[in-house]
Amino acid sequence: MNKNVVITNGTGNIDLINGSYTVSASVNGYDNTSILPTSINVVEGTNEYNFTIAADGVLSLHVTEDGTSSGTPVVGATFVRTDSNGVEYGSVITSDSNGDAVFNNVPYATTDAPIIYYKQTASDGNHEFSSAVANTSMTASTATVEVANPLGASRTINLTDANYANLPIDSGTLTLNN
Amino acid sequence: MKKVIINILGINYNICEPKVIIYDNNNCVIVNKYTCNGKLSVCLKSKCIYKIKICYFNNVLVRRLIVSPYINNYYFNFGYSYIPNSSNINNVTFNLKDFYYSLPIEKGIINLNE
Repeated sequence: MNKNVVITNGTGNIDLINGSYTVSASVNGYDNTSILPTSINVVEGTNEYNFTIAADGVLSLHVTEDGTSSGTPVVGATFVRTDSNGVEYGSVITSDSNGDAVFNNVPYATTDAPIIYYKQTASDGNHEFSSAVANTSMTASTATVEVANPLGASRTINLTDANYANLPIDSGTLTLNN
Repeated sequence: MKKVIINILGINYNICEPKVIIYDNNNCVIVNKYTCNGKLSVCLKSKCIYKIKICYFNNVLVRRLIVSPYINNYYFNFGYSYIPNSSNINNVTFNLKDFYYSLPIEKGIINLNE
């Protein structure tokens, strides 16, 4: 006897009798043979069962100052997968000397591909970045998204003597921390 | 051959569908299928005698089935006493996450096969 459990936002419910069941999955964008566990024993008193499934796409985020494939790479920019609400999942990835930060094991599909959400959590300290949740979807197993991290804008810092109005300090250093 | 509908009564289709096995007069299995909402459409020879075995959980109903040229629907009553104890029925929650990211899967289907 077959029973289908519709999964929405990670969860599905079904009325089920106790017994042993083999498990398969149909999730667009994922490798459906990777469902784990592949069998369960539904027993009295246990009404919640957890499964995982994996994908094998590769999403590269190429971080440059101007957001183009030929731009100056930004090293040390960090990203993390999120859901649509910005809740973070998994490990942080960091851009390398080429400006590439890579999410492995992401879903892809030729049609109706799942949306992949992510956000940037930091840059290298010298570049601006957006921490807003971004998204993309992949119709092939690999894809690259160009990300712009422009240089921080030039700012003028003035230092004057507190006791002599407008008297500039000849030389010195101000240290800014954030 | 004519198309007939096997109707199984006295069971709870929301919990489980019965399995129907039909044997010909040589005792060979010619049908081995689950019903859908207690119904199963099969093609059988008119004026022939078959043996029908209906399996529902651990219970088996065996009857003789004579296919009349004038009758298309055949009914077999399992009786409500065969409905499994409701304490065995659980509202079960299934959680499905991405193996590498623990991200909840937005939409998909888990298929269970007993």
